[in-house]
Amino acid sequence: MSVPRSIDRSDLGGATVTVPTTTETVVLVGPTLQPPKDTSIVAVIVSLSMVQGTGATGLTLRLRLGSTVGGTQVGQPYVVTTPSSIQTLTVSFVVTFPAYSTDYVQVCLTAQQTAASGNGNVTAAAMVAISF
Amino acid sequence: MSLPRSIDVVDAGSISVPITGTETVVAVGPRLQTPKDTSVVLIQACVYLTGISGAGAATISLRQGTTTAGPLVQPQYQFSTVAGEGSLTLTAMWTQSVSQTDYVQYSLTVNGSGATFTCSRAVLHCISF
Repeated sequence: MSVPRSIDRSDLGGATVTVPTTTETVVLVGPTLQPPKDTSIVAVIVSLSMVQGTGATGLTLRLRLGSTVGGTQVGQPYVVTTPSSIQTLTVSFVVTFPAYSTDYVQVCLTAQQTAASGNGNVTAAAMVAISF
Repeated sequence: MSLPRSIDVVDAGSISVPITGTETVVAVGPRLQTPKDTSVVLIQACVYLTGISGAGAATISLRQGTTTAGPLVQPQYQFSTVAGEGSLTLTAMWTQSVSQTDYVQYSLTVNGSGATFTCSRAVLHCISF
């Protein structure tokens, strides 16, 4: 058992982020969280709402270290398969990962459409990161 | 960096709130006591929708106060419904910066367009830090 050691958040507010066809795109950059110096667990909770692009049959959501799609993926990706009749979806998920001997941890949320010929739009996204 | 300062929850339990095209309050959150200076409030919500009829769309929103007239907290979460879908469980999350407040309170609202359904469960969970 542990107690929370730090908590912070990031939020799109009323902004919209475009996800071009099938390109993995950073949707939201998380807070710079200060975890305990020795070892800790970081839990990241994410909610987002997205209007899919034309032809999209699915969506892959990932958390990556840092603020770009070049960052190392943490946890496993969440893959949402959608019938073509679904145009707008809301998804929430949780990723946890260990942190060792780090001063700060930052992750970004990325989205990648499957089989889309049109751009998607993320219309809502919020992230909270907790270390313990 | 912050630490949690206060936490509270409201569980509406088993409810039966019809959603037929009008924004409707399905749960009023707790009166959360915030740090007096400045803080961030994290609000997490979960709704269980049943009896979904027809293809359309629905929107989950958060408003300050206890009614649909309260200021909207961005963003709004939207999703499509599919005929024959039956039921759906959705979670959503918001954060808001507050300062110089003693208490904050939010209400969770649901609206539908082109589809009718019933909100059968709603939970609001708030943390200030």
